[in-house]
Amino acid sequence: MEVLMDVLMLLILLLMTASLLGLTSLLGRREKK
Amino acid sequence: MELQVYLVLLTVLAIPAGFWMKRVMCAGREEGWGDWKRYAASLIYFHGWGVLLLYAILRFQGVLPLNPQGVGGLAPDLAFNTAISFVTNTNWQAYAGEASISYLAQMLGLAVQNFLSAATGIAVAFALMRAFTRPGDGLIGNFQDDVRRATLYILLPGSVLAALAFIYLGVPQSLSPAVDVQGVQGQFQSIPLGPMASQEAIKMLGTNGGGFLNANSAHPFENPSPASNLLQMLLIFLLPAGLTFAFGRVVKDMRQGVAIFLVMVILFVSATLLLFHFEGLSGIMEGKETRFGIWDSSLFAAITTSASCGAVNSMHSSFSALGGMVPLWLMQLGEVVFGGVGSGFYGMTLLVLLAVFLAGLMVGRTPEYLGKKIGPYEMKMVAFAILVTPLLVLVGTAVAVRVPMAVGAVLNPGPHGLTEILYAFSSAANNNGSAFAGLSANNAFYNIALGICMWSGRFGVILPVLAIAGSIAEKKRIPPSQGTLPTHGPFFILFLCLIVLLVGALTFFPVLALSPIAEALQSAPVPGGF
Repeated sequence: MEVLMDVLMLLILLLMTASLLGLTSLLGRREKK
Repeated sequence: MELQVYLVLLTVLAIPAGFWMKRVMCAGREEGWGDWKRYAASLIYFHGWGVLLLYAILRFQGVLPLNPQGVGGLAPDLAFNTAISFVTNTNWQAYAGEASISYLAQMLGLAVQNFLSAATGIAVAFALMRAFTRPGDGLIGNFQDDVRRATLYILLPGSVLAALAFIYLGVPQSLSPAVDVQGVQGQFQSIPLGPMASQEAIKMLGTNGGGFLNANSAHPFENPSPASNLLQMLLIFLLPAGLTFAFGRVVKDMRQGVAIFLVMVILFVSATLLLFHFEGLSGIMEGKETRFGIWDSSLFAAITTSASCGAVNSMHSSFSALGGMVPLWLMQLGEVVFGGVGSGFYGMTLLVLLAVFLAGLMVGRTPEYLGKKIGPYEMKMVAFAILVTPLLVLVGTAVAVRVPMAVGAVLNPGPHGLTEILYAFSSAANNNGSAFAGLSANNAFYNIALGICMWSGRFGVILPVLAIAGSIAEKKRIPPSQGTLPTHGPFFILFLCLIVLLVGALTFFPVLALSPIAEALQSAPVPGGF
């Protein structure tokens, strides 16, 4: 059970970090328009 | 009287601190500087790895050295919450400090992030300051270099000095395990020890707020006397206040820095007097330390929630209904009244840009600030940054009141219970970290939901701020003309105060009416009520 929770927590962390990279790219693209 | 003494001492200390920060952060050549996207990517990778490392330390602390109490690893959801909490400068503590964290995790995990998260705030603040001075090349700095300078030359020396002062004032600094003693009435008690003074120093200087002990600065080991209390309060505001003067130096117009400093002082003094009024009238001593009394507890509460520190020397849940609303609302303003190290400055700059834009609209002038035109892109980013935290707070609270696990953690029914939930989400999304008390927040729902709020509230503001810095840095400076709105005079200072209050009031008044205001009306007439 703990291992599953670990995987879930790490997945959320990864997703949140990736979403920041995505947001940076999005804000940067709008800047050019 | 104490408030006046505090403000005088703060101003006297913040001016040289600001000049020192400017000197450290703006010295040398512009090697390795990049645009805002490069700066943001470095920041994201840096904190992405940081949060993973801290998660691992907290999970495996049971098998790592320097663990004299033999504490085990934190549960996954608690480690998730705590890792994000310290990486984002929030220091929300769902764990009991002395009972759950090993010395190694305190020193190598939490204290390291205390430094790095505060250094990140300083780095982003200076990236934004530099943008106003760039000739149009779009460069705002080098993130790694900025963090290194802020850590080595600002936070470390400041923390060493502060730690020595705390040791002198009686705060323990030791690697010995807790001492078990038998009290005079025969009961057994474990007296915690550990490297507290060093933790205390960066906890305050970096506006982190995470206490070594569960009772935080209400514990006599963390905060032994009124003298240590005053030092803690000064350390909280020292760098946020100093950054306004550093800004004046960077843009070569001290009046601009002083104007922002005065706005922060006006808002802080108004909120503190309001808190004094409600708490003084109520005379409530529940939840307050007798060695600090009502005034020192109220002043500390106003300072710790104006800044995004979150250390507490009293339990805010025990304040009168309207007294408790003041710290809550100070957080909801977006932590811009001095605010966190760096985050207070860049948060206030967002509101400065909004004020300049609105004033420009009113009088039909093209909005510009410090010789840079403010266009639609900057305003979109300002709107994005200003809306992120209220969205997290209000949606988070709304979801929590519908989830049985979240409602079950509330110890008080009715409006006070809603205030407890609202306070938790306001504290997390604005990276304050103080707890209202009265909420058993260590469960899977709060650990995950507040973790997401802390992360999104921190970086959801930093990214648009960096985007604004990048856009402004790309613009050529234009000389001031007769059409330029002065941004250092009394009119602009009052206008900016109004903007801060309006944004805060309009966003949160409905939910405040349902929580502390409803509680005050319910129990009226009470001292501290209307």
